[in-house]
Amino acid sequence: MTVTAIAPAPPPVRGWWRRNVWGLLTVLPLLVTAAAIGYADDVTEDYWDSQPRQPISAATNEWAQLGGARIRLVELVAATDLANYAGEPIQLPAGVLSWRAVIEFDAPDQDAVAGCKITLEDRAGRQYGTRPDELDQVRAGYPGCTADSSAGVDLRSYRTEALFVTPVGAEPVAVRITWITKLPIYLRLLR
Amino acid sequence: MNAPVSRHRRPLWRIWRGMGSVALTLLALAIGQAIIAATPDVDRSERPFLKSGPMGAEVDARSFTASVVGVRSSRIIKERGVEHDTQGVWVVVKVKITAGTEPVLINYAALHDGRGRTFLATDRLRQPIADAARTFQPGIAVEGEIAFEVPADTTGLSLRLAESSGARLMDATTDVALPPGPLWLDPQPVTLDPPVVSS
Repeated sequence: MTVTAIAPAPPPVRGWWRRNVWGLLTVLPLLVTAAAIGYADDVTEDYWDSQPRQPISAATNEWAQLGGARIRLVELVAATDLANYAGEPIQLPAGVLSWRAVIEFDAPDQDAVAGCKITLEDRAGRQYGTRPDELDQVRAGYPGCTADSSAGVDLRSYRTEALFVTPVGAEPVAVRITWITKLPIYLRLLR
Repeated sequence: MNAPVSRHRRPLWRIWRGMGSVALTLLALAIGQAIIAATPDVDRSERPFLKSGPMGAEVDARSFTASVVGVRSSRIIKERGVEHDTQGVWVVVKVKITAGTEPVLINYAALHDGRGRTFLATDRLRQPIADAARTFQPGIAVEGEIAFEVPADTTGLSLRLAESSGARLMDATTDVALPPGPLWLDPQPVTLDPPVVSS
């Protein structure tokens, strides 16, 4: 009598999907996590926030409120009465105009307004700085947002005067005041 | 009934397999290193954008425009009555600069020669417009001079100006070629002209 051995059945072959199911299930949350990390540290957003993007606007003689201080533009006019240190009238170069901005502050908390930058904005969006070299002979102070430290200054009402130059044809429309610590928010005091 | 696998073949197979894994890993590393070596590094990929133009033409350097108006050279340069001599040559370049939309300082001023050498604006005397000495207001063109001290045998000079200082990564830098050929030396000491607003 011949006995034939029966070979054991081969183990069932698991398909590719079954073999890799755990790996596939892990990939999805990893992808989501990677994307979240990438967006959480968005350089583009940091750059956007470092520029003046969100203006707080106010018309002339209208108060703008920012961080516990009130600030308003008193006047923005052509400066035609500039004199040098000897009191003599100065002659501007051809093609250049000068402007004077007077800004009033109500800022008992001086820290709220310290470290500002004042610029003149024209209709084309160009910005002009204070104390231009074209007016280096003019007797003028250093315009800032904090009160003169000399005694007797009322922190609820003090003014600063800023001088600018523009090319002929430029039309000033506003004075901008920016603080690096407050960006992207800034003040735009309209003429 | 199958013959049993030879016992001494199994360890040999594992060794071969391990060596193969190591070899493939090393190959992957070598390929990666080759790719890194072939691609530009940060200094190259973030180098300044050179904006070229001939003398007299306005060159756009992103935040300002500049044109070379003239060039002088001499062995002696005079400042506030003091004469400064040199073993090389003083090159004085007159430029007209106009800021674009915001006030601009020129923080980088250099001459670049045909041999790839760079000569920064001299600090032996006070520069009227370079080294952030003057703020240029938008739309107001200002002509001024910049002094450089260069070797006597230098040729192929070009003027490079930029607002940024230091590495000037990915910033615009002018590259205006000065007149070719040997420099004509003014026998008299030259003095830097003060900057003036150009109408």
